[in-house]
Amino acid sequence: MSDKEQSDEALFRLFRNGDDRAFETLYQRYRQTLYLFLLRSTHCTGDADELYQDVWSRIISAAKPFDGGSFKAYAFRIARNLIIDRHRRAHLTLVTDQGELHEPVQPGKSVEEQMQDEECSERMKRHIGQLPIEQREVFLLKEEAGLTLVQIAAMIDTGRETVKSRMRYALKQLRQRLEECL
Amino acid sequence: MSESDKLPEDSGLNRLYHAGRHEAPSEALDQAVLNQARKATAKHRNRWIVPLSSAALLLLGIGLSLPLIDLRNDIYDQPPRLPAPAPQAESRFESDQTLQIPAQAPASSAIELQKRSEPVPQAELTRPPLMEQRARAKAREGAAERKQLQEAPETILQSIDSEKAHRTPQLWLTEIEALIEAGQDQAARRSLDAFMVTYPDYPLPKSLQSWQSAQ
Repeated sequence: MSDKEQSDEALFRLFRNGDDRAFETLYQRYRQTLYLFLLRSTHCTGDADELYQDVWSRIISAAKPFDGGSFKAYAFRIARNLIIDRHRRAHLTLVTDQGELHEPVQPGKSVEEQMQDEECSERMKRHIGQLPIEQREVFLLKEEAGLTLVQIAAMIDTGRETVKSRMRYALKQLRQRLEECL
Repeated sequence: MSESDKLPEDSGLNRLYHAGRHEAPSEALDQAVLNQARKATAKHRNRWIVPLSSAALLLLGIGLSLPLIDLRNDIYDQPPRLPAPAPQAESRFESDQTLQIPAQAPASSAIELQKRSEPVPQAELTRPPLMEQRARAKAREGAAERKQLQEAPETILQSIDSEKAHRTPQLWLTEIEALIEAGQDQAARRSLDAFMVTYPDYPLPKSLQSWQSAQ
């Protein structure tokens, strides 16, 4: 079986046994999604870069492998804990520097349409950043990490109904603020 | 998955969110993470080198010291059926030899065995150690000597025993004369030789002097 067909957990075990190619495959799978989760959570590329390296560093040097759960949940748990630590330490503000990020041109769309899409994307990112931290965390864990209700509830150590309620509030606020983009 | 296990969704927001997913970590960040992972795997691969080499050294040490331990057991654990010790000078000479010769033999044979790549023959493995062979040979010699003594005339045995029991030279000489009179010249000569060794300055009676010169 090639590395690409292996499960995340099998790849992680291979890596822990000294296979660095297994790690590269695993890294490619979670490269963007972990980065975006951190970027949307912190709204600062500097913080996101630093946290991103911290997350992978902890994954690489973990003394023990994760305890039987999914690798995805394990990685995002580390990311979430680091975000919380950072937030507590630095009283992270919701000021964003994402306006400086380069957005590639999408083929097949007029310049006006692309500009409107970009504007809507920017607005969405900004509004995500303005959500209360608990709602934002649930929204990103669902949309970016693709975790299930059960996984999110277990990760943030909260009841399922609470998680659902936070998600509902997050969606309601975003919908109200982005009505003209939808 | 039941409906209660699902999170609320909004397809419009979902589409809008995923349309704006363009950011990615920089190339430098990727390289930093991958390099760290490579270092970790290299460290993992090298972690067996030290324990393995230590274990190999330990085994080598044990392998070399075992033949020496065997040798010491051979020297100190003398077999119980060894014959009575020979005269002092000879036994000292023997013990010196046993300390020197076998000390080289097992060690050199162990090194020789390690050097050989072919398997050691079974007969060679089952052969008793050198010390044991030597002890057995000595026991055989002792048994033969005893047998010879048992076959000797009773009078000779008596005279030999009496030699040991002598207290005075006069009594000893009287016994020697008795042996001569009884015609046991061989026993008398042996006893007289022993007497002269024990009492070299004691004057012999004329009868014995003349008998000795006739002999």
